[in-house]
Amino acid sequence: MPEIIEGISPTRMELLRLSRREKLAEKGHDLLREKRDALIAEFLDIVCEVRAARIAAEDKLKEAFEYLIIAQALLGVEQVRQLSLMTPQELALDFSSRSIMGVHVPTLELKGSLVRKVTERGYGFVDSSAVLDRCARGFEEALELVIKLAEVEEAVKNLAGEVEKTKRRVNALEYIMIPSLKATRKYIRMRLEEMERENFTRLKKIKAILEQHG
Amino acid sequence: MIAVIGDQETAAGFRLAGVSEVYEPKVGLEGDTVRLLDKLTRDEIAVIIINESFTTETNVQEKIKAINEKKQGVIPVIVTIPDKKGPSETKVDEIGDLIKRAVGVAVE
Repeated sequence: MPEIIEGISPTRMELLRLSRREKLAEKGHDLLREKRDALIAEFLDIVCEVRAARIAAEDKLKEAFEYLIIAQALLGVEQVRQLSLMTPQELALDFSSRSIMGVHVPTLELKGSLVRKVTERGYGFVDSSAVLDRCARGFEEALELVIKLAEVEEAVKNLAGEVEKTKRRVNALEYIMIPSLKATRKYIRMRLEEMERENFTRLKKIKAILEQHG
Repeated sequence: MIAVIGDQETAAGFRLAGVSEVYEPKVGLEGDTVRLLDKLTRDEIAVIIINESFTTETNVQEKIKAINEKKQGVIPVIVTIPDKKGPSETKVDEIGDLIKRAVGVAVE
């Protein structure tokens, strides 16, 4: 049994106000339900993308790590570390946000490709090895995929949060707000009818008394 | 800007790829990763790439959650990647969890 809203006086004015509120709540409920369904559709679309992106990024990383381990074996861990510090470090990353159904999701944009030419990597040919080149290339490609992954994963997280919020609102309206408005309205209507009947009998009684004395 | 928090191999690899903000928090030093995350958030780094092995500690997980809840815009985006040992099997399926929470049922 839904709760009746407390502190409401059973008057016609209040009844009108309640029916207006109920109409509004129902309209809001419909709109929110539509929003929820659209969000879920969007969410499911993007989830597939995330799964694919994660697998691609992890595969690429695995490959890059394999080359790194070979490079470390050939050149020594310390040497690889030093060479890695010699690479020019400039990455241009643009970020902005776009909105899917009112949910802000990031867009990360790389200017150009991350993959560089061998000569652009900054270390000399003498003290490095071809494996190191392959390793650097692997990590450059992996980084691109990881950034892509970061973008879609964040979008999914934000969308999921919004879906949850919308769902909670829909449920609150559907199972608490609207039933309690309905119950209160019914209560007031009954009270008004009861008062009318009371009044009717009272009038009858008075009329009878008046006729007796008259 | 991109930042990487990872072990020695991850750090070397991403330095080779041209990332300038590469950090190797000391293993076993309590709170180091948390402090780093704080610093990177303040520096308005767009993407923080972090090794899975660093996110197993509870305080790191809590920090990431706090950052995600507090952020105003869309950055920083925190993404976890596996280390040289590959994806750990014990890691919970984050996306699967999200689907279950959002849709109510597990999808594929």
